[in-house]
Amino acid sequence: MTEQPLLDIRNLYLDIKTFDGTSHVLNGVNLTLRRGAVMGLVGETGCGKTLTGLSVSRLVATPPGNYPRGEIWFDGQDVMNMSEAQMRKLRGRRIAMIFQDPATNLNPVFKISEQMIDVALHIVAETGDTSLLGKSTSAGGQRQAARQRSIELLEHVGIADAARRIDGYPHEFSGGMRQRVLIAMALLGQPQLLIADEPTTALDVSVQAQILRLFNGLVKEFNLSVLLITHNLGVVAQLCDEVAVMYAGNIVESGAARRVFKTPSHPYTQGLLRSIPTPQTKRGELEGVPGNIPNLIHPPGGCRFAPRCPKAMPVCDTTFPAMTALEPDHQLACYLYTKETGTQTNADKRR
Amino acid sequence: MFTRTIGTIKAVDGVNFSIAEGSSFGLVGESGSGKSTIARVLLRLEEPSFGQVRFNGVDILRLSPEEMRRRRAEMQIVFQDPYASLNPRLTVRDIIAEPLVIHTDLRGEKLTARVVELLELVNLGRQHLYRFPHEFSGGQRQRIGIARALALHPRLIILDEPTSALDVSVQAQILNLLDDLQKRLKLTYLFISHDLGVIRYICDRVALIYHGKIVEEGATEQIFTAPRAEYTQNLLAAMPIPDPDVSPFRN
Ligand SMILES: Nc1ncnc2c1ncn2[C@@H]1O[C@H](COP(=O)(O)OP(=O)(O)O)[C@@H](O)[C@H]1O
Ligand code: SF4
Ligand SMILES: [Mg+2]
Repeated sequence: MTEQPLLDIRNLYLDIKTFDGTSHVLNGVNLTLRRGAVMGLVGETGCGKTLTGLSVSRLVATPPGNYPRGEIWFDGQDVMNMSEAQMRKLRGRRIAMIFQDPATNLNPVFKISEQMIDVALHIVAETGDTSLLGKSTSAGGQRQAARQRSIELLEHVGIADAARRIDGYPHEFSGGMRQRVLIAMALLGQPQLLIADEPTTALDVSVQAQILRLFNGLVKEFNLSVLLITHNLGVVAQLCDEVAVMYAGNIVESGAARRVFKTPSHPYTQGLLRSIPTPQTKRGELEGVPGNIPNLIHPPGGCRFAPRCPKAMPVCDTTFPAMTALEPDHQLACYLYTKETGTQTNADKRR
Repeated sequence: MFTRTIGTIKAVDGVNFSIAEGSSFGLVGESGSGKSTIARVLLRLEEPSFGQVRFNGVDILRLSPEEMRRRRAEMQIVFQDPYASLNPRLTVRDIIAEPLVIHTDLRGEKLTARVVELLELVNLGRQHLYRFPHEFSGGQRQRIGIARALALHPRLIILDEPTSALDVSVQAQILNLLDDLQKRLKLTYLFISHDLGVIRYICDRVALIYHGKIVEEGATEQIFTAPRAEYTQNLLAAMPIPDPDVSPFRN
């Protein structure tokens, strides 16, 4: 019997009304996160990573957003059909987020202490779960407990002298230290799922390595499951057990990270990996992916990668290929791997 | 072709390196290390307190503004953010034509013909002449920036994080283009980046800069396979390689 996954996104569609027309930003996203797993959600700018993450916490405004189809299951609960009151019990508590947009994360005019205490008290108020802050029930006692808990967590994520530094303002912290503060803040609710959107993108590589190391430790200590959103395949390879590759609103390939990195099978994943220069790449021989990402207001009708795909076949323009399992730990959405349309060898012959 | 010896300036301290004609020289460092300051000094957008920047044997820091203006045609820069560096109110034709109007007598048809030639060099075309920057993708905008930099037949192009704002698949396209242009036009590149993978791919020699000082300099292969400075070793170790088997976190 397979264990119930912590997060299961099934065939999720999202449209967003824009000035220029309706943008079909998510196009049947399928993603399953095992308990205790660290999954990288990777893809290039605009492919829908952030909107996928925000959808899990139901943070996409509707309207202008609209979910015509699809389901999101978190720990056996049907997220898409929850009331806002139910959602508030999950958000920040059982599902924590580190947002890509820095302005959403830390307010420059408040001390770290005020912001962390606010978050902690807010979670307690929304969930009614006072156990997060120990026994005290008086307002002052809770505040004190929230502050104490915040200091502990800051220390835990590597902020030395946290009892003093907690009363500093965000600008008094370096980029890497701010990221640590955000991680500590996300841990306040003792979440099961952490969604971290590009948490190291703005950092220098040496600082990035420190933050990745921190994440790796926390996952085990706090028994976290993580959805790590990034455009950096290197970061995914280093940190994640699993990976989902996203292109223009679809997961096109997913599975065990080692499997996907060692035997990338979707033409887009192959192209992405071939775009990164390795020590062996000779100058002038970097392959890249020709063309540009499609317009999501008028996306290609079938496989959204077809206009750029070197292996596209007539069937690719019909409907989007279903996600099929190549191996138990390797899924793909590509007609090269579905039985109806033959094998890769046949497709290669067409070229 | 290019030697510089610079004394103390604000962010850069005693930096020495030279670039052989037709080669690519990489300048690597993390944010705030002084990479871009060096680029600005080379273009004399910033004046060092002492030192030399020899370009083709001439110390450009001693040139009069008029002489420098002529020299500057031979040294061009391409910036990280193609959007910020292109005037949003000008058409592609006018953006690329601007340096030609300032430095040459080309006008009218001939000017447009030269602009088309430049667009074709970067794999764009005549159909793009009368469009505005916002109508282009990031990669295309970077091509426009490169076309403009090529307008006056430069010998040296300073590329300041030219692909850092781009996605990898587009970055690969731009790196290939730069490589191709270098071979066809015999260009010399000073390639500034924090991305070690990109630097290794495109550069013949590399200097690592930390807190305004060069901590190590040498042939690319040597630096990457046998780094001497601790800083270089740490930076190489921190570089996230897209291979799960070399992750420092796995066993
Ligand atoms: N609030 C919004 N309104 C309209 N379109 C949006 C909105 N947010 C994102 N998009 C569009 O949805 C697509 C996916 O965006 P996003 O999830 O932010 O991508 P990623 O995080 O992968 O870069 C993009 O084309 C983006 O322009
Ligand atoms: S479905 Fe067709 S177009 Fe899409 S990736 Fe596979 S081969 Fe290419
Ligand atoms: Mg995003």
